[in-house]
Amino acid sequence: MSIINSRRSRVLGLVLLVAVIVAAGWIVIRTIHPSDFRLSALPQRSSSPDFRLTDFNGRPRSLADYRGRVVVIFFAFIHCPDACPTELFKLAQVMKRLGPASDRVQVLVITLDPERDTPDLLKSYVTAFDPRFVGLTGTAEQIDSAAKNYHVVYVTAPTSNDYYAIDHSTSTYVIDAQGQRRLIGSMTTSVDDFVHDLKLLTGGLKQGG
Amino acid sequence: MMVTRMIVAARVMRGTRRIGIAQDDGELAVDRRQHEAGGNERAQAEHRQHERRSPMACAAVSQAALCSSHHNNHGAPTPLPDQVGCLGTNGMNPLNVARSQVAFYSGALGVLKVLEGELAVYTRIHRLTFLLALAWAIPALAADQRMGSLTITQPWSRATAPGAAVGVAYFEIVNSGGQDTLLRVEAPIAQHVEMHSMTSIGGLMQMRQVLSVDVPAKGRVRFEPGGLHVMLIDLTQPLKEGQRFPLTLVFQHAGSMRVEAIVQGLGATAAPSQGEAAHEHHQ
Repeated sequence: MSIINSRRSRVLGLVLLVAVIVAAGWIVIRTIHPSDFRLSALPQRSSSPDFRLTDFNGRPRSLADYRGRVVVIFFAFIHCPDACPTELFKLAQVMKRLGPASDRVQVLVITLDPERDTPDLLKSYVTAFDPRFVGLTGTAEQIDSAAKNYHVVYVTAPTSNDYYAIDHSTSTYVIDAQGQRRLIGSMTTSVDDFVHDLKLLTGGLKQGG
Repeated sequence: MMVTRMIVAARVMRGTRRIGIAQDDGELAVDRRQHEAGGNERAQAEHRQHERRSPMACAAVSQAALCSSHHNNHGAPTPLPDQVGCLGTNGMNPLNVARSQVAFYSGALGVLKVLEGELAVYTRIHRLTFLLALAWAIPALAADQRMGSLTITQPWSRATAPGAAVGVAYFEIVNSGGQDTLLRVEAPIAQHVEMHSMTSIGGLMQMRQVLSVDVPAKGRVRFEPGGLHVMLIDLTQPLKEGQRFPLTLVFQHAGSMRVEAIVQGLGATAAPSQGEAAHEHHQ
């Protein structure tokens, strides 16, 4: 009797041990390490600076409004002929490729040219790439402060013909659903890499390491 | 260049035809019967339909795309019985003639209804292929411009999103002669046209107007995304994919050269290479 009992408890212990190992392994596997990301992962998690802007429908917006969703921020302007449409088109492709996960992603396009980019223009421009994109504008000061917080540099560069170009950073910023800044993408980041990383972030997974 | 494109167009045609046939064995049988019966009248009929829609375009592609597709479609290099017919020299309404011929052969085989059904499917496939091949091959006719020692290859532009008043244009200048300078670019589609350079320094994209661009002897200059580009400021109309518009390049020595830029899609990052274009049409 006691032999059977001890055998039983030994078997039970073994089963428990295996279960613990499997569970631990699963947690390790399911935990994202910064090295799992393909975009540049920020070494330290810190809450992303908020902004006070207005969306293209005239509604005041701050980053906190998008809590619960992974936010992708790109600073752009309509008179940008090359980098902006290329990057926005890429982000639109990313949204398509994300499939259902795209419901948990919000792309925000912040104009660096509030003077020329009226809310109406911004709306028709931004939504042409993807109807889910939201364009944000504001006063020159608001834009300035948002850009500074994201370390976005932009300088107005006049050319002839009363026209001015804007030198600008072309990074794309990814903020997780908890409002923590996480990743920075660039013009050379591929659609695949964006999709990969956004899937990781929208999976509701814990970060380790 | 143009000839190469035609050949590719022909290949595209053949490829898609094969797919069309593979979809249905019965269709293959019909196709053989039709061919053996001595006619590629369906091809003629379709061809004439297309010819009526766009005579010039059809004439340009007919020999390469249509005829050669027929030539190679049936495995063995069957001599084409009526290549002249391919050009549509029949005095009667070619469509009716072709239709009556089809009806005759079909009737003789006693499967009129079946044939008609399959023919309709086949015609749809073939027509689509033909239009796709045309749509791609025709713009190519205007792609490269050569004047003296200068060749402008693949001038292209990108469609603009609604609200955007600026566009871009890109091309490559290949110079087989002595040094020259591109002084300016003119485009009636924009109020102002400027040449800009773009450099990315630590992720900061800098755009600067350049007043002239040196074209070295035996060298080439490329206007491309992320680099030199022509800025079309205050467009008179939005740029739509597939549209073409004239650009005039003014050189110090060679003088003015007029080219036609082809507008690519909203997210295009390069003029389509031949391989890509063929690939697209296969899908």
